[in-house]
Amino acid sequence: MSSFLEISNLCAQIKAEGQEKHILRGVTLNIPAGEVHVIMGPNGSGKTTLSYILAGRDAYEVTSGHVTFRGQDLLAMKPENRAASGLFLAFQNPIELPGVNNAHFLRMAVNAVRRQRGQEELDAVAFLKQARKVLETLSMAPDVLKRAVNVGFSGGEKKRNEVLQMTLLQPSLAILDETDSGLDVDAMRVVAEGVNRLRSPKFSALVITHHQKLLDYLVPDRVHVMTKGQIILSGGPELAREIDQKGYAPFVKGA
Amino acid sequence: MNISQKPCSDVLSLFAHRLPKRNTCGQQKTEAVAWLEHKGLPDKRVEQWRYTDLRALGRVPYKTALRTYNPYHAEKLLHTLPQWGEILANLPRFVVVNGYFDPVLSQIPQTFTLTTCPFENVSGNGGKGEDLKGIQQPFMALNTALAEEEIFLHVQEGVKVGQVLMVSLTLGDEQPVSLHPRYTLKLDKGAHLSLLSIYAGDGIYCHNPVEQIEIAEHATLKHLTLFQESAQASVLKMVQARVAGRGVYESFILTLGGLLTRHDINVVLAQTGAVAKVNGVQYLSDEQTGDITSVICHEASECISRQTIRNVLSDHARGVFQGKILVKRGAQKTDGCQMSQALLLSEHAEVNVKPELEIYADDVRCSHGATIGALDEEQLFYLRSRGIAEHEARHMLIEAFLSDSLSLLEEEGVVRALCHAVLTRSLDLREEQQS
Ligand SMILES: Nc1ncnc2c1ncn2[C@@H]1O[C@H](COP(=O)(O)OP(=O)(O)OP(=O)(O)O)[C@@H](O)[C@H]1O
Ligand SMILES: [Mg+2]
Repeated sequence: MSSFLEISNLCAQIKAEGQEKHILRGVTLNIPAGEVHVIMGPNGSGKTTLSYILAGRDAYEVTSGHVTFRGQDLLAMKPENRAASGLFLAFQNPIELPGVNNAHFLRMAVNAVRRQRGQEELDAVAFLKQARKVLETLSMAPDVLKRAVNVGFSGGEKKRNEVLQMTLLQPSLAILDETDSGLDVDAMRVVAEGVNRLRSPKFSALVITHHQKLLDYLVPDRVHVMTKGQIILSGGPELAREIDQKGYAPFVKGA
Repeated sequence: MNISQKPCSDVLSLFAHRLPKRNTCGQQKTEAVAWLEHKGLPDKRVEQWRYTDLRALGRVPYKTALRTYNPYHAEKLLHTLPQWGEILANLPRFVVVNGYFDPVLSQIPQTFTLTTCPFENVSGNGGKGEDLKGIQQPFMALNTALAEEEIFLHVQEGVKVGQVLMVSLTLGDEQPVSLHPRYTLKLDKGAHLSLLSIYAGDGIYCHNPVEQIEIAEHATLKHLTLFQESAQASVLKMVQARVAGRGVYESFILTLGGLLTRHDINVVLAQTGAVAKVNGVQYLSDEQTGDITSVICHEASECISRQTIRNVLSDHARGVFQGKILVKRGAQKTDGCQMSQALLLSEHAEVNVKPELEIYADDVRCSHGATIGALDEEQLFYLRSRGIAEHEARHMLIEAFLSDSLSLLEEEGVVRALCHAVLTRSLDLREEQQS
């Protein structure tokens, strides 16, 4: 099972102020089933862009390269179908949805995905039961279900709400874009445990982070360094510790 | 009124054959006819009518809507109202068919009186109808000239009536008909009324009602108006409300049906501490036009006015909100606020917003604001990234915008539940048509 997620030579750009801006300049990355990979890299290097493109945001134009996910051409799929096939993106900045009730949103999402996966839909009672259970493991207050999605949530609450969605949607590939940023130590552990609980030979994760701290709880199989839209270096967990001590400068120079 | 207003014989000709001869009718009608013959009905060159084209009224002259009608037709229409069986049929109600009060379909409680009289008699009838003090608005004039019946609702001092339903049914014919009913609502000191008006009908017609509202000290009128008129109908409605000290006029307009709906609301906050809320949602598609034009006049100190109008427009629909806050000299500590929020669901939809502040006092707080936008791409993507199909995601966001506006409706549960159901239903219907 080598080809679980295969990104090869991915180039992407965005039109900003009438000019084409190249953001990804040939990203190649393989994530086998069951592995947790980490991407680190300086601000603005293209990490979020990569995660958006994998999830299907159409604001970016892919100019070359391709991505296969579980043998399928990922870039040809609609975002909702990617989700159904098991891809989940925890947003760096979760979006607020005024007027959309969180419980309603979560149930719509869970059932949309279940329908596409050929599973039976959950009724309101069954769904709430499951959601409450997950809330407890994430030490979230039950009242987040009653509120509008992410509206007025604290930074940490938003991030936990992403982990809540991830847990409910049972992905086979989770992309976590700085889900640990802005979290206190306890919350960081909660997030890490949320991912660890999903770990299995059929689950992979791509974790984008700036902090070695998270990796104490969530031990990765591989660590990649991205600068200027390319992966310039890959290694084991020790690479993250090295970067934590020395910064990116020594690695960038070598590239 | 704008002096440059030219007679637009085209539109007036649709009604001209029915105008009474001057001086063979009462004084009010004579004045109204004179006004119309002098000024005509406005076209788009008239400032207040720039965005709303009365040519939507068509080319075929309107006949009089008949007092006699087929009762089965009325019953049938009544049963098509949203949640008739679940909620509406149990409320105390008065029903107006083709502009005439219908005692058979109505169920009036003891808590208020409802009387009717031929419109010409109004001036000699205990002063029920407020004197118009000079006509200023074309559809006020048209109503006055052609009104046949006045319906007078009176709530006495201190009486709390609770929820009352008013249904207006228009039974259209093959020939276009027009109706021009006149309503007077009078709330005495400390009285309280929650009125839910539903306008429905079928066929081609022009509905031109005038509501005159008098709210005495400490009295409260909550009035929700739901326009579900026929797709070929035009509505030209005029509201004139006068609110006395610490009285409250709270209006919420929900426009869904009708080809053209123009809702003129003039509110005079006449004494200290009076409050007016004029909120509304226009949810329109196809070639529909919905126009809310308001003038809130702060005549006394410490009055409060609040207006938030939301437009949700698809296809070639057009939404208009012209809101004016007029603060007279001496109306110190005025607190006036106006907001327009529009969601455009198609590139052909259009919203026109014209706020206007005219202030002659120095210690006031007045503001206005406007937002216009399409559905948010990031929000759509967020939903879709969670597995929710695109059309479903759009549906959720539109519904959120619509139901969010119902938070402005400070109403008891049933009415809000009704509005929610109505909005959701029309959202579903429109999506079905599109797919
Ligand atoms: N919509 C956009 N319009 C213009 N520029 C964009 C847009 N999206 C991304 N960029 C640019 O692309 C580059 C990469 O951005 P991206 O968000 O992917 O970086 P990142 O690696 O996630 O950074 P950080 O660590 O700060 O989150 C940046 O220079 C950014 O300004
Ligand atoms: Mg980022």
